[in-house]
Amino acid sequence: MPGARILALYLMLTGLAVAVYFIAVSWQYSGADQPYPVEAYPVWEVLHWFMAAAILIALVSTFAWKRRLGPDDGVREHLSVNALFYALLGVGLLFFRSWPSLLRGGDYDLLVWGSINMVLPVVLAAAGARMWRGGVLRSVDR
Amino acid sequence: MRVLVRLLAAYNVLVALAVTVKSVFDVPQPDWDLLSWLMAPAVVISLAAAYWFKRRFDADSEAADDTLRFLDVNVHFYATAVLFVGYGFQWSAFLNDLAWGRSGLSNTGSLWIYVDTLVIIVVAVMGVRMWKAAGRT
Repeated sequence: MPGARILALYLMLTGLAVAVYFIAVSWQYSGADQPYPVEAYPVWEVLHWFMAAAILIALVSTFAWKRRLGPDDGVREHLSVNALFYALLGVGLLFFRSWPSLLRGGDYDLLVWGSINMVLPVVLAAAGARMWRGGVLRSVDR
Repeated sequence: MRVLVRLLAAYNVLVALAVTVKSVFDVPQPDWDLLSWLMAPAVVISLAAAYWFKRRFDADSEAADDTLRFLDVNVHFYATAVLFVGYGFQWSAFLNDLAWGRSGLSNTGSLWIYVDTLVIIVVAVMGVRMWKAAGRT
């Protein structure tokens, strides 16, 4: 299904963008007093919208997949889906708890955002890869 | 090949050991700057090894029902991927500091505690796995 593949691609590309920018961000502010500056982060401001959409898409699709798991599905399937779902839920809660504060002009807490930016690319890549392979759709079709 | 894998495995274990000793006992030498350089290859080696173990498991049709091995391979693979992103950020900031003549390990230091903890666990485990795998092939 092309729609699912486009969404899968979106998740994986968002994860990749977060990882690459997270690693490269200090070079954007080379020579500043603080390599991870306290002023506004224009690229993050845009990326956060993409991240929010990606988290919601991944959460909804993984939840749909989780709900359709049955006793016939193997232990591995249950473990994969639940681990992915709860990892997404955790990082999603952290994101949606911190993002509104940033939008209101709050401080950028490196420890919180660093944690989100470390984990989110991996979780989005895993959810995207699953969706690309059709795991979600197979479960929905059943 | 076996010797090379064992050398890389030994390197990983030694780096993990050095980071452990430095983290727990805060010994003066080696300093964190040197350890940061030593960690870079260890993180890349670990990611490559974790990916190789995962690929080998996925391709092994006889392992399809081995849930424990499935968990083992996947947990380490994803933990290594998270470590790679976190270390990449810290390493990049560290190099940026050096390029601009600063002392390094500046205000980005707060993520090092995660990175160091993951290095100790993941790099050591991957080193041991590689050592054992080299012995079996």
